[in-house]
This record gives sequence, structure tokens and C-alpha cells, in this order.
Amino acid sequence: MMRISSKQTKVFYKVLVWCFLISGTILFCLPLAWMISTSLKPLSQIWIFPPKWIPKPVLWGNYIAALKIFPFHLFFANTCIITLFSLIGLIISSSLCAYGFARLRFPGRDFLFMIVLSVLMLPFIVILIPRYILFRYLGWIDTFKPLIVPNYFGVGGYGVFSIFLLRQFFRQIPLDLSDSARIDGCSEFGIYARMIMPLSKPGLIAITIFAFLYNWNDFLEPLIYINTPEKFTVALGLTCFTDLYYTNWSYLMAGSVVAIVPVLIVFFYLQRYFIRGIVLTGLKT
Amino acid sequence: MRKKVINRWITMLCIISVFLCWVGGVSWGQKVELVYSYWGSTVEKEAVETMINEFNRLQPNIKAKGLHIPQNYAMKLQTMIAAGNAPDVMKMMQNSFRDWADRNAYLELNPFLDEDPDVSLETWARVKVENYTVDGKFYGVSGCLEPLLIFYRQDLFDEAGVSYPPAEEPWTWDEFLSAAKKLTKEEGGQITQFGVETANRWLINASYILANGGRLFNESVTESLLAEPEAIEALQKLVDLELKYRVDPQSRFLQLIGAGSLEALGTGRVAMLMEGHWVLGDLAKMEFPLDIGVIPKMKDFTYLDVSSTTVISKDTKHPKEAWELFKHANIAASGIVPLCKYGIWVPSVKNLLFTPEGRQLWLTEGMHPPHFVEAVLATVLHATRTPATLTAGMEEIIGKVLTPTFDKIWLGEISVEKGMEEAALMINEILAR
Amino acid sequence: MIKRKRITFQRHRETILGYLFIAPVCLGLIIFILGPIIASLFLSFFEWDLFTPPHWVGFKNYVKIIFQDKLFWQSLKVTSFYVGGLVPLQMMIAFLLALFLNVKIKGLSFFRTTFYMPVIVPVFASAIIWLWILNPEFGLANALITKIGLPKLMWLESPRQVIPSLILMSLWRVGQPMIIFLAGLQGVPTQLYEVAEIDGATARSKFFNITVPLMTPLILFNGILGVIWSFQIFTTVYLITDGGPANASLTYILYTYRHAFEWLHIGYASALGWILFLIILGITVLIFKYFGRRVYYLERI
Repeated sequence: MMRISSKQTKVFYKVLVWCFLISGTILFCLPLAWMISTSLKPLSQIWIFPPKWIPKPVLWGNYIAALKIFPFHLFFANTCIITLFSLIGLIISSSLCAYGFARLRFPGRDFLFMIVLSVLMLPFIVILIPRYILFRYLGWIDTFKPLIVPNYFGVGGYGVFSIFLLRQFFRQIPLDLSDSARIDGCSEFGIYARMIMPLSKPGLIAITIFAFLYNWNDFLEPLIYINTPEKFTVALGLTCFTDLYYTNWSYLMAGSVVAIVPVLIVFFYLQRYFIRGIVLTGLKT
Repeated sequence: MRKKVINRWITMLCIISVFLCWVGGVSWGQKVELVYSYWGSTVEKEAVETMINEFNRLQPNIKAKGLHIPQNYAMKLQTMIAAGNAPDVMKMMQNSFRDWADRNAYLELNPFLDEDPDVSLETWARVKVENYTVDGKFYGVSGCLEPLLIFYRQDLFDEAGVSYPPAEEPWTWDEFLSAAKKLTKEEGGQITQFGVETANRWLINASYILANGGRLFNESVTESLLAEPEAIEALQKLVDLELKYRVDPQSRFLQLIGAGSLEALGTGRVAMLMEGHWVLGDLAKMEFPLDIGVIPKMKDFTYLDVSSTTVISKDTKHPKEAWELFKHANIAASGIVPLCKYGIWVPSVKNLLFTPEGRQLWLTEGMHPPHFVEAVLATVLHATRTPATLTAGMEEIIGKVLTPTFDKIWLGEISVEKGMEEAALMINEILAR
Repeated sequence: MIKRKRITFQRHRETILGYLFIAPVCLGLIIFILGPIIASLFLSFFEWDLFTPPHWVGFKNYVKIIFQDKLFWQSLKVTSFYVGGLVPLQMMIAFLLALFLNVKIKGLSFFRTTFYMPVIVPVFASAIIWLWILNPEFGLANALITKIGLPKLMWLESPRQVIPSLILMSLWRVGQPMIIFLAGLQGVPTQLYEVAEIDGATARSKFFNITVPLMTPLILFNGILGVIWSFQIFTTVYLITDGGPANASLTYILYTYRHAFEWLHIGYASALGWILFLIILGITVLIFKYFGRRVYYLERI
């Protein structure tokens, strides 16, 4: 008797959860649905009340027009370059640093780690202005350098977070492994590159996804550092659709949909690793 | 294994060097290079690019390049000027003009005017030159004027049996108010149609303070005169349109991304829209019988022209060539006519605006409504010099003091008197710096 | 004898290597973080417009901010309301969603993606979408609530409703903390649950005695980061409300940004930045002190 009812309860709860999730999904996706709907509408149909969901006629041409008016191929290329080079820098610098904190002992190690962590608490605005002045002095304004270079020093977007995450990962690999490798004559860097890194794939994938998202959608820093429209990223490029007094809503939504697609694909396929990566660190302090 | 590593390194280096080249930008050529910065929509971008191409064609040893900054123009330009790489010729917004004039960032243009036989201070409309001259030094103009007009729907006026807004002799404020009342319809407790919308707070409020005999600043620009009775009276009349007579819909504070006033006229939610001329282009695309009238007067008939200017940077390495570009952009018909045809500009060049032959070049059927010429000419001749170029710090005065104060007044949270007193105090602080 | 020498040599080697490995990041910290922080402190004692030479004013900026600047207090108030309203709600909803998404049901990947999707949408696009949704005349929000019979709301156009509207917009992106909670839930060893079941524990007691305590480090983590991050809200207000109406959405960073980039008061803006730094530091320390003791770590159990 007890077994049957507990099974029934389990199914009941599962159905309840399912219903809740479906309604939550509908709610969360409404804005996105509107986004797609608007991207296919002629301008005259946007400001109707109550709102119409299916446009008549369906303007697939909006997508082509939107991407042509402004050099979106350039925007995409720029964003790819910035994201790619930033990711490379991030992975290298944060893993090296995490390795040092996780698997080597030296005086002041934990204190330095606390300092690195405390950067998370720093409001960006405090360093924004002097950084801008520094970059201006270096002549880096209106180039991609301010966005890419800091990643090679562990201080780009998600830099500290990655150091933290990877350190957790690295700590869990038994010290005996590296000890025996050292006795066999392997260099420290060799241990890092050929043993620890391959074992930490989930963590690396997790930080790659976080950082990829961050760099792809970053708005504030490109806004401040990039002036010429040809050098805009996709996130900035979307602002071209609005000017002082008018917004072309359909084109803007079309551009946004296209901006989301790559990230969506990346996330959908890699989400398993993503979550697994964070799980395996335990995220314990 | 080794070969693989080397290969990878080589590929890396190749990618990096391609990237560096691309980012660094390699440029050849011995032509004089000029940069012209501007803002605006895609339509303006096309027009400016055409203008620049024509300039390059006419001046074979100059290569001008357009720098289109569609967003945050004032901020971007400021940082460029402060960094020492200002564009050679740049459009400059009215509210930030004086800050940089005071910092000596512009080239004085009087010497060029003296030398050049084609151009003089008489080439452009008087108010344009006045607005951008500081202590006798003329710094530039742009090719456009932007009169404040009433855009209205003939069909809604016909329906209500109200005579159209005049195109030459302005209504008095009371006549205007009574027309607006007749055009406001209520159905089942909700107002379905409003008589007029006056959403552009800075433009309209400042214009009417001046139109009522008031002023923003005193002679020596050390104090704000906003708390004087004329200013308060003017603002009260404007606020009453919305809060007392309810002929003006709830103010839209979110004009930033164009969330609605044009659509309001387009969908017939309002019968009249009081706004600067630049919205004509977008309104003409909508399908309703549009026409234009002059704004009503208070004590006087006047308005504030908020159109921008073009200046030449003091640090430009090629002043003579920059002057040629400036001339072409702000006098040549090719630089001005396309934007007028799109309903964005009204020319400030006298012989394009005040002569019939000049007007023929740009008036377009289907864009410019029936009473366009009379209304625009009447309005433009009554412009007052803008107070926004009398002092530096206007961005702060408007952004920090006036906009929030107007918000509060229009929300009914504070009376006009109190609001203006507070505003005057804060403005005096800023002026004192 | 030889053994001791070898150990010292190993220790030295390890120390040097340790410093080498963390060198790039330390360099980065000095150049891109520490340097700017000190520079910013330094700048806060000057008045500078980036163009004319700076001039020294000592503590004048700080005095002006604290004692004479009404907008400073306004922006602090606005930001505090936003943070105080958002973070608790965000934590609860994220936790709840993570719990639901931890149940083995069909279509789990699909659901996870949909709840995370709002985080992927570029900030500008999402601002525009919400601008339309919350438009009092034409927007979806009013369309829905009037169907239920509620009166139309002004949303972003009313000074009293603008902060709750912004909180609503931020809650749309609850997928970010949700994912962290989800990972945390999956990290709870299932043996603990099995053992508890054998002992006859109910679902409720499993939840309160195993799940919640083990999730406390993550709750603290998400909470602190949530406070720090939401205190810095800028992009959305910058794009949509520009601090209005009547400064009701003038967040701290927006105000600082204006002083720095729109009115060119570099020194004043630097002082504002430092004050924010100290405030956030203070809040973080308080949170650690108060909640730190209630956090359980798996190792201790």
C-alpha cells in the first residue's frame, strides 16, 4: 500500500513541477516571442493596441534589410575577433594563476589569493576613469586592445571568477599525481599543461561559456572605448538602429534575433558541460 | 609532436599579425585627409556620405572621410577633443557648444570670412549666426534651421468643425486652448483623443518663457531669471494644458528612444503635435492628411532655434582645406538639398530659403504639406537668440536641474513657482563655478 | 644531511615557480586594477575636466558630496531600494527554479535553456523589448493586466513605479543565479539523501536538514555577488529612463557616469566612485559577519 501511494505521489509531484515549468517558460519567453514577432512586422503594425502576434504580411525581408543597412558583417567579425582573443588570454592567464594557487606552496599564497578575490568586490566605475586615461595615453582608444589585453593578465571580464573556479578544480586532483610526475623529472609547466589541464576540461568549458557570453554581449566597455562605427561589436551595432528621435523597431528586433542565435547554439549544446563544470568544483570555499 | 607544436605557433603568429595589421590600419596616399563627424539616422548618413563624395570629387587633392557617430555624440566628441584627436570639421550640438568655445577648442572663422568673397555673415539666417558667435568671434553654423511648428491632422479638424491653425498670423494662447479643447474627445470616462501634444520639454518650455517676455539668464549670465513672474506664467500655461484642461496627454518622459509621440499623431490619438521641424520626414511617411501651422503666441510670437552648428577644430592640421569642407557642407546646395527633401532640414542659407528659385530646389510634393512655406517663413523670421550658447555648463543645467524639475512639475508633485525657485538656486550654483 | 638540503632546494624551487605562475595575474592586478584604484583616489582630490590642467582641492569633493549634494543621497536611496528589492526576490526565485529544474523530468535541457535565455539576450535589445512591454499605451503588460480587470499602470513613467519596474526587468534574468544554484544542488551527494530516507526522513525534513544547509555557501556566494552587482546597475537605466522621471531612477553609477563623461567633472566622479567602493566593502563585511557563521561546509559534516 505504502509503495503504491509513494509512487503516485512522485508522479503527481513531477506533473506539478512540469506544469509550473511550462507556465514559467511561457512567461519568460513572452518577451522573446514578441521580439521575433516584431522583427517580422512592417513598422505600421507595431503600435497597435491590443498587440497583434502574427504579422500580416510576414516580412522576412526585414532581416536582410536590417543586416545590410549597417555593416553587420563587420560587427560580427569584430565581435568574433575580440571574443576569440579574449578567451585565449583568459584561459591561459587564469589557469596558470589557479595552478599556482592550487598546487604550489609559497609564502603569502593565501593572502594573495584573498587579494585577487577581493577584486570581485570592486565597483567597476572606480577604475573605469583612470583606465580610460591610461588607454588614452597608450593610444589604445578606438582599438580593440583595451578589451583584449587585460584578459592576458587575468583581469578581464570573468577573470577572477575563472581563477576561483579553476583553483577549486585543480585542488581536487590528488597531489600524489603531480608529486610522482615531478620525481620522474617532469617540469612544473609540463605537469600543468599535460596533466592538470586535460583533467579539468569541464571546468575549462564552464569558464569558456561564461566568458564567451560576457564578451559577446559586453556593452559598456566597447561603448566607452570604441568610436568608429566600423569597429563596433554586435552589441553596440544594435544601438545604430535608434537615433536621437526615432527607432526602427522591426530592424532592431531582427538584428537582436540574429545576435542571439550563435550564443543560443553554443549554450544549448554545451550546457551539460557547463553545469557539470560548476558542479565538479563543488563551489565550496 | 614537435612539428605540431611549431605549426600551431606559426598559425597563431599569422592570425595575430593579420589581426594587428587590420586593427592598426595601414594607410597610404598623400592627399590631405580630413575627418568630418556627424550624428543622425540612416537617412542622414546617406545624405552626408553623398555630400562628402561630391566634395572629394570637386577637390581632388583632399580626401574627406565621414565619421558617423549615431549614439552618444556629445560624449564621444568630448572625449575625442579632450584626448587631442578632435575631427577636423565637426558638427556640434547646441547645448555643448559653449563649453568648448570657452576652452578654445574651435578655430575662429572671421579671418576666413574676410578673405573669401563667396561667403559672408549674410549668407545664413541671422539667428543662426547670432547663436554661434561668442564675443564677436564667429565659430560656425550648420546648413539647417529647425523652426518649432504645429503639425496637425486635417481630418480630425474637419471632423470637429474647427478651423485649421493659421499659417502666418499666430493664434493667441486662448484661441489655441479653445481649439485644443474642441479637439479633445472623451468616451466612457477615458479620453480617446487629445487636442495637442507638447512633449519636447526643453524646446517648448524655453521657447515660451522667451515668448512671454521672460529670460533664462540675466545680462551678465551670473544668475538665473527662471523664478521671475513672466517665466512662471509661461510655464503655468503649458502645465495647465495637461494637468488642468487635460487636452495634452500624460507627458512622455521616455522620449529617449522615440517611444510614441509620432505614433500618437499617426494613430489619431492627438490632433496636433507641437514639435521641431525635424519630425516632418517621419510624419510624412504616415498615411494621414498632414498640414503645418505656426505655434500660438503668448506676449510675443517667437521660438528658440535648437539646430546645431558645424565648427572647425583649433588643432586641425589643415585649416584651409577644413574651411573648404565647412563651406561645402554648409552652403553648397548638394550638401543641404537632400536633407531638406527628406523633411529633416530647413535650409539656413538665405538664398535657398528666402527666394522662390532656391526653394524650388528642395520643396517636394508629398513631403512638404500645403502650408509649409508660409508657416516656416513666418516662424523663422521670429526666432530669438538661444540662451543655450550664452554660458558653459548647459548640459548640466538641462540634465541635472531643468529636466528633473520639469518632470516634477508635470507630474503635479510640485508647483511651478516652487519648482522654478529651486531650479534657479541650483542653476546659480552651476553658473558660479 | 643530504635529505635536508634537498628539501630546502625543493621548497625554494616551489616558491619561485609559484610566484612565476601567478606573475601575469599579479602584473595585471598592479597595472589594470591597483594602479587605477590609487590613481582614482588621487584624482578625487582634484578638479579636472580632462582638457585644462587639473587643480588641487583636497577633501572638498568629498565634503560637497556628503553635505551638499542632494542628488548623491537621492541616487543612494534609489540604488538601495533597487538592491533591497531585487536581491532577496532574485535569490528566492532562483532557488525555487533550481529546485524544480533538479527534478528528473522530460525536456530538462529545454527548460534549462529557456530560463537561461534571457541572460543571453544582449542588454540593449532586452532594454528595448521591456520598454515596449511596459509602455503604458501600447504595451503587453498593460494589455494583460487590463484583461484581468486591473487598472492601467504607468510603469517606467511613474516615479513610484519605475524602480519596481526595473526590478521586474532584472528578475527576467534570474537564469544566471539559477544556474549556480542548480550546479550546487547537483553537487549534493545523493548518499546523504539515501541515508536519510533509510532513517525515515520526510521530504520536508530532507529539504531543511540536508539541502538547505549544504546550499548555504552558494546562497552566500550568490547573495554577496548579487548585492555587489546590482548596486552597480547602469546600462538599463542609461538606455531607457536616463534617471527619470524626476530622478526617480537615478542610480549611483548613472550619476557618477554623468559627472565623469557628460559634465567632465573627473575629480568629483572619482570621489563618488571611492565612496561607493567603501559602501560596498562595508556591506560585504557586514554580510560575512552576520551570515558567515551560519554557513555549513561539507568538510565539516
